[in-house]
Amino acid sequence: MITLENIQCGYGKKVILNNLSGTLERGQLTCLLGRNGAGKTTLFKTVLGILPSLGGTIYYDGKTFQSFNTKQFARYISYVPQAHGTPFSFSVSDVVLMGQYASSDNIWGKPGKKNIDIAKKSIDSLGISHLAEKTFSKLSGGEKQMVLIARAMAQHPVFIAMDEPTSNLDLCNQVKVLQYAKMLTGKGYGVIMNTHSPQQALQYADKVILLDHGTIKQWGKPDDILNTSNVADLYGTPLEIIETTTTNGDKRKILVTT
Amino acid sequence: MKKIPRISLFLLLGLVAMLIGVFSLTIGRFPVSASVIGQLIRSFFDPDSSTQEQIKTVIIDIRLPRIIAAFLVGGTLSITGAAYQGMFRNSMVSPSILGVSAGAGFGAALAILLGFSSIMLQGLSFFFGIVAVVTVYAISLATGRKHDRCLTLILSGMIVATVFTALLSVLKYIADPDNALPTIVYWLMGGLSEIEKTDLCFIATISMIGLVILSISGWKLDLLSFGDDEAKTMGIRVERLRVTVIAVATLMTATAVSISGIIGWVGLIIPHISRMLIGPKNAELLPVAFLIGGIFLLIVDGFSRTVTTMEIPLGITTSLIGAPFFLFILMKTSKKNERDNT
Repeated sequence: MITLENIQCGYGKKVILNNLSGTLERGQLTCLLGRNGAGKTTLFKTVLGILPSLGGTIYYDGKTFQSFNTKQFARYISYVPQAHGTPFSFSVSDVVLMGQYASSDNIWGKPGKKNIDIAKKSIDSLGISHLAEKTFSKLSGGEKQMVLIARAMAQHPVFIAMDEPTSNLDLCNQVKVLQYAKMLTGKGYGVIMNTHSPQQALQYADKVILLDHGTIKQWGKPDDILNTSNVADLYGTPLEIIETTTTNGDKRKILVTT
Repeated sequence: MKKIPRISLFLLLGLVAMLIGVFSLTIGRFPVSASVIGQLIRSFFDPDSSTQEQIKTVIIDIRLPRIIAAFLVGGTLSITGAAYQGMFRNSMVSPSILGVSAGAGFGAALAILLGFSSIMLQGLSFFFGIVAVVTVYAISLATGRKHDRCLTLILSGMIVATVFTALLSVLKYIADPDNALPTIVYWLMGGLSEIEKTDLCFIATISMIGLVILSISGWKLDLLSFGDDEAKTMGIRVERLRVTVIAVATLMTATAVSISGIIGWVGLIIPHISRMLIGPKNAELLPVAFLIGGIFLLIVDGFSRTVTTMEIPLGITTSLIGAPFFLFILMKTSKKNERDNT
């Protein structure tokens, strides 16, 4: 698990988030919600070790960030950014294989047969083998997102941090990515997801963190936290969260703006 | 363009380099046939075989050092260009982006103005090339905390290069127009006519060590192409890698410029050609760029010293050949992109 103890996050000396405490568990999908500028990305980057915390401590299975070397930390938590291109024509196989850098036995990071096999398994497990030899930068947004998820899985982490993975994706690809994120928790990964969509959190999250005014407003199960009052207050927008029944007879909560 | 199997490509390039090197020995103001070259080689192994002293001097003391230097300088500029393109995630970057050429040019001009020997000229050129890049790095550290590191390095490089170029202009302004000024201008145009055997040790050592270090950093450079944040999360020590690449590339480029003057275009176009042949993976791209760059400058140097009775400075020939060739590559790749998108 990842435990936050009174951490402060920010840039340089500027504190953006204060007094954050809580636990991220393996096998759960935790969604981070908040308005633009609430500090979601800042918290994200602090948990990923990209930004140093300005106060407090983060424990990764009981150990601090400084206890890991860079490769060990890469094998603990991996990162799925928003889908983007690269100026060079790497193939999908090349990109996913980069996830195995931290596991390479070679001192210079050269991948061996073991690393190549693991990367291939990662590609196959997401059903994107048909993309393996295609140029990554020429794929669609949804396909790129899948490849980046495969790369993150190839790092064999304990946690996967996904930064707004459904931004810029059409509905079909959004659903695909979210289903994969949920599937990863079924395989034992802890998934932390930054999202602008409370609806996605309602449908897929095991836990939700609401960030507001530089601190954690709520942290818990979506059913307990994502109600009309909390979400309307969080976004400053009139809305309702109502319960409905699907054609399959499942009860679902949906968000409608009013 | 279909990628060629890498072992075949390395062997082919090595063979081409040797053949062009041997051919280059035969051309020049004093033509030497291939059979005489063969006889010269035999004379090293067979005491009964001999070659005229004059031919030996031309081949061993004049042409061979120049040919080796051309290969090493071309290879050095190409591999450093490719490494910087990977590091800055921009295929339009050249080895002079951090000001090393401007600094080295200033150092050489200063040495010429002060009447220093050629050894001191090379030393001062090398020194100021290093000073320029160290200054760039220091400025980027001081100003880069709130900005993208690559951007601050490039902007700092522009600032430092501008300052050294201005200082160079001052030196040219005060230089004796009959003596020092033409020497400075000629040096800046680039050339290998003054190469001696003693110069080879320095550039051979630096370029071979640099080739190895950059090539084995290739896998890490691939990860850096996705940006600092992603590279860090994949286990790369980004700043350490950046310092290593800049330090090695600077030493290599400063060495090359100190003995050959300023030769443009090689470090920009050869990585593009290499990428088209072998692909973008830096562990393969960097050594291939070295080989292709070496072959390119061998050919261009041979052309420069034989096409007219007066030798054309190398910087002029590489620009005259390089720029249209780059246009050809751009047109070819844009046609390919059009076909791929339809």
